[in-house]
Amino acid sequence: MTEQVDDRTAAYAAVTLPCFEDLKQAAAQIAGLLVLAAAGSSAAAPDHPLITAAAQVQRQAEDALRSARVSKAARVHYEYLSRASAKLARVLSVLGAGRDALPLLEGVYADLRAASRALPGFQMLDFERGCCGPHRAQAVVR
Amino acid sequence: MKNNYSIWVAEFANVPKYPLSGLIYGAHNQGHTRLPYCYVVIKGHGHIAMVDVGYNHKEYGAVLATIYGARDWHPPREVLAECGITPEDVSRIFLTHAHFDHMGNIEDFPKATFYIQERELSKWVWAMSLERRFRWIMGGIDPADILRTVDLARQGRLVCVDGNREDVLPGIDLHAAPDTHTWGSMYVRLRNDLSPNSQNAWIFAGDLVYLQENLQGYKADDPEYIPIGFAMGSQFNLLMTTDELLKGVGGDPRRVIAIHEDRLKDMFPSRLASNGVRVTELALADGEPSRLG
Repeated sequence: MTEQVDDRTAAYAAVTLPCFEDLKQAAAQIAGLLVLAAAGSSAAAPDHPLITAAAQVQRQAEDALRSARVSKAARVHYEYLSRASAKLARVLSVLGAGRDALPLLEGVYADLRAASRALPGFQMLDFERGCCGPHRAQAVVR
Repeated sequence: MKNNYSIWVAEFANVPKYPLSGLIYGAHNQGHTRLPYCYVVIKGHGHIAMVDVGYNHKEYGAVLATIYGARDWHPPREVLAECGITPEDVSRIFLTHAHFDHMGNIEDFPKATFYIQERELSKWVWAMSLERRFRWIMGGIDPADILRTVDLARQGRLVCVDGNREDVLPGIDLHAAPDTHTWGSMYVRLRNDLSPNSQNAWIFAGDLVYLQENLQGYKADDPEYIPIGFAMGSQFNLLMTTDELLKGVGGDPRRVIAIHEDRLKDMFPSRLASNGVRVTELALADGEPSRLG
């Protein structure tokens, strides 16, 4: 997406982009652990420190989302992001109870993906730093 | 020379202008080259195998095309048809590493079993626990791909390999290249005569090598190894792996297949189909018809 956004929406995006990135990362951590567990890896364990870290990240994101001032143009985005955060909390709860978290986790990704489409600048995959993704010039800070 | 397997390299997309500095270490301000995106198709011994699966156009095609200039993406069904096969025919897929343009389309191969280095997965999971300022490490990794591999693993279709493994199919070996391009990169060695001391070996290098220059340097009469422009691990490990790759094919750099090398089509017989799909034919097993028409 490359369209322009109004100032209030830009301010909203500045606050919620870290939340989006945090939720994406926490969800990815849990997905990674599920892969290792399903593949029988010894690196995966139910008390893995990543789960504690993911829970902390989710709580931070939830707090930040609560304090965000949502512009009219950002309402749909906010709705998706809030849903993703709530579902992630449920994923962590389900994991703690030893139940299958995969369906809920897929829901988290669906909401994050929808959020990424609702406003510019929220990317599911960072193409800027990929090896074979074409790189764009970025401003150098000196 | 008897071939047990037929081998094709199929191009499914390309970037018309990619900076050389990303492909050859130190090649700054040396211009651009065309960067093809390809996967390798292997047929023989009752199996159809692939090395990597490309990326998912449904998710990323629009971004890659409109912002970065990637173009001419073709779905696996269309690409593989040029080799006379369908995605459902593919039984084994060897993932060289977890970047989106190599493992980003696993859902299009519903019957395949996938092989990846366990280290590639476990180290990415570890990397996700790092602070945001380390996010460069996660570039090229799509969390959705990780999620999709959960399903694969639960279906028993994901094999996490720890180190080297010989004869995953007759004459096909997987080799770990830890801490090189990525933490758990892997390359595939195919001994087309099935001999342990093969005189007819091929190596599919993933992103351990991008161009012939990585294998030979710039001077044909004084060859040297030059690492690729992107190492998550070390350049030293890449150089040592490059040496291993060349030794694995008896010293013939043409047999180390780099799937981002645009000149592959000039090194081997190749055909550009009317739909824009390019197929390069490396070897034909007995009785297999050429797909070059």
